[in-house]
Amino acid sequence: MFLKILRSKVTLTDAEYLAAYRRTGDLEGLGALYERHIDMVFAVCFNYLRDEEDAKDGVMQVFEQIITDLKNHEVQNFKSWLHSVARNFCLMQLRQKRIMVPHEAVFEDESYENFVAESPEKDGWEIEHQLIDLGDCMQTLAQEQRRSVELFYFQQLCYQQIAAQTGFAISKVKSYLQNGKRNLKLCMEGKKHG
Amino acid sequence: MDKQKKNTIPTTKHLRRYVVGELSASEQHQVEKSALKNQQTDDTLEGLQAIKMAKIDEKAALTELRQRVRQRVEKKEREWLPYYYASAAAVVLAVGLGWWLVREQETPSTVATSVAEETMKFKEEASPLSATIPIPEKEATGEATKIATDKPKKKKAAIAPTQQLPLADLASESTPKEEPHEVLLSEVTTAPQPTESSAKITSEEKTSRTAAVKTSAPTPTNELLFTLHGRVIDAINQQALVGGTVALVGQSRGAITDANGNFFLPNVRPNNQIIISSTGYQPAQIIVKDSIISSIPLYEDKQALSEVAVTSLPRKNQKMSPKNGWKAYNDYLKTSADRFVAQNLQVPRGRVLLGFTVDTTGKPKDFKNKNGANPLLFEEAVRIVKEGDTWTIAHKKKKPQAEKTELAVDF
Repeated sequence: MFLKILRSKVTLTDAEYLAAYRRTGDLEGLGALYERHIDMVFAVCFNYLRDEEDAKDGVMQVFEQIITDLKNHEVQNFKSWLHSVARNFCLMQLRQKRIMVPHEAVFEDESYENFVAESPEKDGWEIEHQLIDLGDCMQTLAQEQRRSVELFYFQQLCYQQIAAQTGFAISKVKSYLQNGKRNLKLCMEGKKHG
Repeated sequence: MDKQKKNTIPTTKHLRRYVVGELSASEQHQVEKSALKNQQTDDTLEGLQAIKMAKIDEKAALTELRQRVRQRVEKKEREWLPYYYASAAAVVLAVGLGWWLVREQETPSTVATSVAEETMKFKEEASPLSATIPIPEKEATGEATKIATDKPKKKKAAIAPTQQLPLADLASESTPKEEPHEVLLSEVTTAPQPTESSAKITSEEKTSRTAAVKTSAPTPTNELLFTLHGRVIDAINQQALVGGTVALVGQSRGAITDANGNFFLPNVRPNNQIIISSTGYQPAQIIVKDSIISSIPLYEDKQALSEVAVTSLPRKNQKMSPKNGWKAYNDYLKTSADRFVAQNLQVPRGRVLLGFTVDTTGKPKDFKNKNGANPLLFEEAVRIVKEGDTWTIAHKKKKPQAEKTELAVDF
């Protein structure tokens, strides 16, 4: 008991907590680790479930799930893994309730972990080598999308500023960006493969 | 582009600042960019915004959740703790209870425990009877015997003349006599000494004494457990009754008499009632006073005999069975199935779980293929069972009862 208390005083990294849990199955450590990210899980759950109590229950059920999952899985990036667990849990909940998930919330097919791992270098690589293509593709975008993308990515403005400049609603700016980004990507991939 | 490399996923704290509007425009841009790129950031950000929009007290919610997580984590711990505590408590309780019992047994004049321990062995050698006597008494007896060794004759002499009296009286009478001389000795010996002497009396007067008389043997002062030993005999010809039952009233325990009519019934308390019965005899009920009771005579009872025979029949047949017994029926099933397999080699083999109802005439009907076995096998199994024995069926209130059953036929 004393050892546990002493140990919890020292701030461990996520990976250390995970290793300790897999070694000992000690729930206290896992609980401490979970508390570290509990605000994220709660926010994610609320984002999908849009109900305080549902979200709270979701947080607890996600904890139950990771208690079992972490015994078998080796997790590299705990926070992003935890996010995908929470997200999948919420989507399952919604599916069970047969609530349509708003389009924005549906994540593209590729697995999330791949996305996180690949996107930074891919972005750099693509943009560097295909700037010309990019210019062409930009012209294919719808006007709102193009403007939003230009302002956001080239002038590095925030949503508020873009909204102020263009008169778009802030929420619209976001969806323009998301769609514009996706269209650009499709366009670029099309160019790459001829 | 350099900035992108630096871009790490914003912390939830940072996102919260975004939601509250504490960030500069460029910081906002960074957060937004991250959210566009990263589903986790996006979900968290949107969630935080939604929480704010719904005017939910996020802090309170998180505090509650943290508490719930801690409780959940502790719950597992608690499953362990009571186990330890319970066993520890049980040990403490047992020791405490034992100590209390010993204290009860001992007199205020305090017998030294070391003496008692020493004399344990002594006593065990001295009297094999004490095996059935609880420990405190044993200690006390040992104490008594050791101290009493220098004048055992005197005590026996004191007891001998009063042998015809009920033993409890004997005990109380002998006590005051001894007391003035030696406080320690007399106090300790009051309980055990009669036990010892009663054993002697039992052996001496075994044949003449009845159980009823015996019940007036000394009553141990405490609710102690002992092993009851006795013998069941036929009252008329004095023969031992083999296979008689001795049942404790109010408990589902009992003993059965051996080839010599003897029985041992462990964990009996004084004043427990036992019922002694044997097929064809009138049962006898006895209140237990001592660990040894003399031969219990049972009287033959013809009425009881017939009654037993009637009541036991339906109980035996509560589970329906084939008319000629299970062994013959199983043999029949096997040979029939083997014959079918030998004649129909192309049919796949397997097990048929046959559900059917036995009607009031003992004929099986309403066959069902319970395990979805091959229809050919099922058909054959039905044929075999139909042509087989009729069934002896259960009777309820002397009326035959149709009954459903299942039967496995292996091909």
